[in-house]
Amino acid sequence: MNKTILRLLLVVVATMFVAERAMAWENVGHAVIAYNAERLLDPEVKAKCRHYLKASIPFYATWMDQARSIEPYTVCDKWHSTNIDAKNKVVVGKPTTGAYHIERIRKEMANGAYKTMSDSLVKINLQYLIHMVGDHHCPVHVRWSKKSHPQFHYNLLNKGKKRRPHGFWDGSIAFRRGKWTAEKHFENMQLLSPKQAKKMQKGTAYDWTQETADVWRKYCFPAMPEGTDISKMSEEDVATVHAIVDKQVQRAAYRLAGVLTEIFKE
Amino acid sequence: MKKIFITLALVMGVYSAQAWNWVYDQAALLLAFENMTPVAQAEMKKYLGEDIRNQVQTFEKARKKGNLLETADWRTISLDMNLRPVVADDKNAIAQLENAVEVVKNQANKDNDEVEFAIRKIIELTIDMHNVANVYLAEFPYSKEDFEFQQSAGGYGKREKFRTRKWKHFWTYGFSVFHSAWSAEMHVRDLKVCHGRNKEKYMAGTIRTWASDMGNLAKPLYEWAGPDCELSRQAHSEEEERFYAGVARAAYRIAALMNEATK
Repeated sequence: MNKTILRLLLVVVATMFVAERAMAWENVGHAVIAYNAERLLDPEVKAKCRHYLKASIPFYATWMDQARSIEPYTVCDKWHSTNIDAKNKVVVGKPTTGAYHIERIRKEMANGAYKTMSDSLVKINLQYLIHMVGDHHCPVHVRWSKKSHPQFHYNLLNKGKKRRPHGFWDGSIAFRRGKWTAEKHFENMQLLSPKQAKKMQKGTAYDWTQETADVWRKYCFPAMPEGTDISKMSEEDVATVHAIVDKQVQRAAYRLAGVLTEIFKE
Repeated sequence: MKKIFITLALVMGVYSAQAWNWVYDQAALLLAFENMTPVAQAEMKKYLGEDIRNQVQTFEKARKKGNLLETADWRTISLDMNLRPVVADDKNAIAQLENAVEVVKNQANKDNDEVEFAIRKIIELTIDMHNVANVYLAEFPYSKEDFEFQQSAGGYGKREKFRTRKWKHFWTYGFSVFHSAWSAEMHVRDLKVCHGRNKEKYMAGTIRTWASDMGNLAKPLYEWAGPDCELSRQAHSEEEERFYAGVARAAYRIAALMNEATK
């Protein structure tokens, strides 16, 4: 009897964590990236985004995490991340990856082509972009094959219990930061000069994903090797994690703002 | 076994704490304040203090301490088969709000505590009556109950999993999960973007016509939702529009009542 109840409770708890983990960057990270991006937009572009969305940009920051369970959007279930090959290079041109769809939508909407689309299609495309640009800056949203990169399939610990790195890095923006609002995260973000911003916004979603993969290999993985106990991280360790993810959030926000500007700026 | 129950309770607790549901109440009040006349704003500050944003859920806080328990009966509105409000006694939001407006209007003859209490009623009960879970429709008797239903826990198609939830809890906490890290000001901005164009429409009318309006908002919901219904991820996402429409209405109508009461 006790064992049955025990199993039931464990399943309930596990289900809750699985549901939470399934949200890339988690809700906080997506809200922060979208909010920061909106703050970086000029009024003309912001007004156009709001015209089509009938809401602010952060309002739809996590829509895609809901939509992946909703027909007809279940097709986007695989668009939250992009594959990396055995040589650590981003896989280009694969329709089951997010980077492919970011670039597809950018091309389809470029040079005023969005004006030939229905308002609802523009809205959906924006909702995709808002989420996917964020996702592709999350260090655990690059897909490493278990065969070519077995070292990246490992466990961290939390109070001695196993925990996947995915769950940790998805929630790392808010990690040990209490109830920071998106506004507070914006204040925390380092602002760039227009020249620096332009430089950061250059490239394609493939380039950005490649950079995210490199961030994972060079910084995240060494910072949190197998067996690291999250509950025992020092302030210094936490600061290292925040430095990595804050940079990724900055990149994502500037690039999302850049993509939206490229689409809507006359 | 005891440890597991405690752990589970803590996990649940953390989830509730993450919900930030009070942010919606704060947003409603901040948006209401923006739309009040200078006189109404001054009255608000005179009785509640300068810190307006935190003057929400005060009845709930009091109830948790065992005070003002009678306010628990004031949160709801009832509507007949034709969506006309039923006000048989004073244990409902309509009667209490009408009374509160009169108290503020005639404040010269009232003591400060009574006026302050009336202003708090205007804030809290206007918010409460715009939560569809507090709208009782004669056509759907179960709308009066805090029934259990099945909420999607992810997956889709045949793989979609459901878990048992309580109806009122869902309509209080169920949507903030989409907007973690949102401040009340961020919601205010979106309420204006999404509903600002309806401001005049929402503010016009009386408490009773607003009750009927809420009946119209709630009716399509109760046509499919009831005990043991399944709320898919899609329905959850779609229902946010109804939830937000309730918050926006509440915000503009708090302003309308305060403006009317202090005219």
